[in-house]
Amino acid sequence: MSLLAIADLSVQFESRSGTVPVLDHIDFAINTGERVALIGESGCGKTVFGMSVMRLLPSNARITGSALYAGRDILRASEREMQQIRGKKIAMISQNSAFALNPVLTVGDQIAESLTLHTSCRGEGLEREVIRLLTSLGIERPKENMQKYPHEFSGGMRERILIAMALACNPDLVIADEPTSGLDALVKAQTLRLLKSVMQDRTLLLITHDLGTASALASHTAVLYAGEIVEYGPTHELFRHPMHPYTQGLLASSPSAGFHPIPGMSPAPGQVPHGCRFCPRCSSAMDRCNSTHPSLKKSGNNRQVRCLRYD
Amino acid sequence: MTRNILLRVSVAILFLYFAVALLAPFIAPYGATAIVGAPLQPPDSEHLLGTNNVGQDIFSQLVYGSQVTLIFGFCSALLSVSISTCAGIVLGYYGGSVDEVVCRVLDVLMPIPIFPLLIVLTTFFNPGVVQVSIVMGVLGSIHGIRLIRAPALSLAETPFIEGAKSIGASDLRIMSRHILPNLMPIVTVKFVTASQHFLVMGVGLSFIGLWDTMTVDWGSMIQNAYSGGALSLGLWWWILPPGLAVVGISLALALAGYSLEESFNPRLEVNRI
Repeated sequence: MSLLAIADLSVQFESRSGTVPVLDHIDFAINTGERVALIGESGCGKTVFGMSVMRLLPSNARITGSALYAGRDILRASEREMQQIRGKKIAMISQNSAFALNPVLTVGDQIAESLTLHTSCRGEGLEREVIRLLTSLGIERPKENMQKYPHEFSGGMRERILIAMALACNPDLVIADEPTSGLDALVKAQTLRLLKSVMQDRTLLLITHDLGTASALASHTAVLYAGEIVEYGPTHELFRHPMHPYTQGLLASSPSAGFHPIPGMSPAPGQVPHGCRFCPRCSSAMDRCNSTHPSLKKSGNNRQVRCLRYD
Repeated sequence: MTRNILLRVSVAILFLYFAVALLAPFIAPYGATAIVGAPLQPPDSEHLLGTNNVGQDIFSQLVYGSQVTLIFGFCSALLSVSISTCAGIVLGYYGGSVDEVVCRVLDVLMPIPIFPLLIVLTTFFNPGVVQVSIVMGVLGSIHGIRLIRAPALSLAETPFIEGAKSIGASDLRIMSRHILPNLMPIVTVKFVTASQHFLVMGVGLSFIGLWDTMTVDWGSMIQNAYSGGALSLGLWWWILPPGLAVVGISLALALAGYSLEESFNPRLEVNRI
C-alpha cells in the first residue's frame, strides 16, 4: 500500500482578479522507501504541491481531491490533527535561505523544538538526542555548536541543521523543497552525498528544478509542467529515455547535454492552452495537439506519460 | 563607544533613582508629610534641602515622592507595552479582516490626545493614581500596537515561521517562542521611551492636581512650591529639587532609549550632537 496516495488534487488561488488554478488533477503515490523527485520549472506548482501535502498553503488557496496518508485523508484533517502529523509523521526540509532558521534562537533549541512538541524527551535526554542528531549529520563538536546562533554557521552547515530539524522525530515521509538551493557547487555535492546517506531507508519527496539533484537522490521522478504531471517513471529510465517532449527538452537544456534551451516561456497559471499545455513550445507538435488535451497514460513498465504521440 | 558610555551612564542614573525609591524609609530623615521644623527654612545640616511653607522637610518629600512618580511612569509603560505587544503580534500574525477592522479603529483613535482626554476623565471620575495609570496605559498602547504589528506582519511571512509550522508548532507557540523574541529589541526600546513619556506626563497630571493632592510626588511638590510663591520669593530650594529630579530621570530614560535603539538598529543613522 502507498504511504501517501494523492488523487485528483487540484489547488486554486483566489485573487482579486479571479481564480487562478495552479495544480490540476494530480494523481500521485509514494510507497514506503521510495524517493520521488518532483521536477519542473519555476512556477509550475512544485512548491505548492509540497505545501498542500503539509496543509500550509495561504488561506486564499482552495484545495480539492484527496491525499490519503496511512489510510487517512489529510486534506480533511483538522488543524489540531495536522499539528500532530507535521514534524512527527511528515516533516519538511525547507528551502535554504538566510531566514530558514530563526535568527534569535540557538540551533540546539530549534532542533529540540520538534522533539519537545512530539516526544516526551526533556532535559538531559533532549540534549543527548540533539547531540546524536548533529553527530549523525556530520557536525563536529555538537555540544559547542548547538549553543550557537544561525548566523554563526555557513550555508552548508545551516542546511545540515535544517535536515536535523526535519529528521528529529524520525518522520515517515520527508519533503525536501530545493534542499541545495543557494549552495556553491562543492558544498552542494557534499550536501547531496549527506542527504543520500541519511535518506537511504527513508521515504522522500524531493522538490527541485535541478536535474542533477533529482538523479542523485531519487528512485522515481515525476515531471511537472504547468500544474500537471506530464511524465513519471523510475529515475534512471526516465533520464536515459525521456518520452515526453518536455522532459526531452529539459534534459537537452542541461549544460552537459549541450545547453539547448526549450524555446518560449512556460504559460502563466490560468493562461494555459486548451489542448496539450506544452504544445506551443513543442518541436514535435501535431495538429490535434492544439485542440486535444492528452491524459496521463501508462506506457511500458511503470512509466506514465501525457503525450498524444504515445496514444 | 560613545553609545556604550551613554547607555552605561543612563542605566547608572536609573539605578540610583530606583535605589532611592526602594530605600526611601532608610534614606529620608523624616516622614513625607510630617511637620518637622519652622516653615521656609533654607537648607542647613538639619534639613538638607530646607523646609516648605508648612515646615515639612523637602529632602524627605523628594525621596518619598520618587515612589509615586516612578511607579506611575513604569507601571503605565509596562501596561501599555504589554497591551501593544500582545495585540500587535496577534494582529500581525493572523492578519485578515479582524486586523483590517482593528487597524481602521486604531486610525480613528490615534489622533485623540491623551492628556486632555485624561483631564476630562478625571474631572468626572476623580480617580486615584492607580486608575489614572491604567487609563493612561490602555490609551497609550494605541500607537504601540501599530508599531509592533508592522514587524510582526513581516515576521509571520518569513521562512522560519513556516518552518516552525511545518514541525507542528501551534499558533500560540509560534507567537510566543518565535515571533516575540525577534521583536524584543523594539519592545525594549518602546518600553524605555514610553516610561519617559508617561513619567513626565504623570508629573504634569499631578501638577495640575488631577489626583489626590495629599499624595506626595514630584508633580504635587512643584505645584505646592509654585502656588506658594517659591518663584517670586526666590525660594529656590523649594521648587528646584523636584524639578531637577524630573529632568534627571527623564534625561536618563531618553538617553537610554536612544542608545538602545541605536545599538539594536545600526542602520539607523543618528546624527550625534
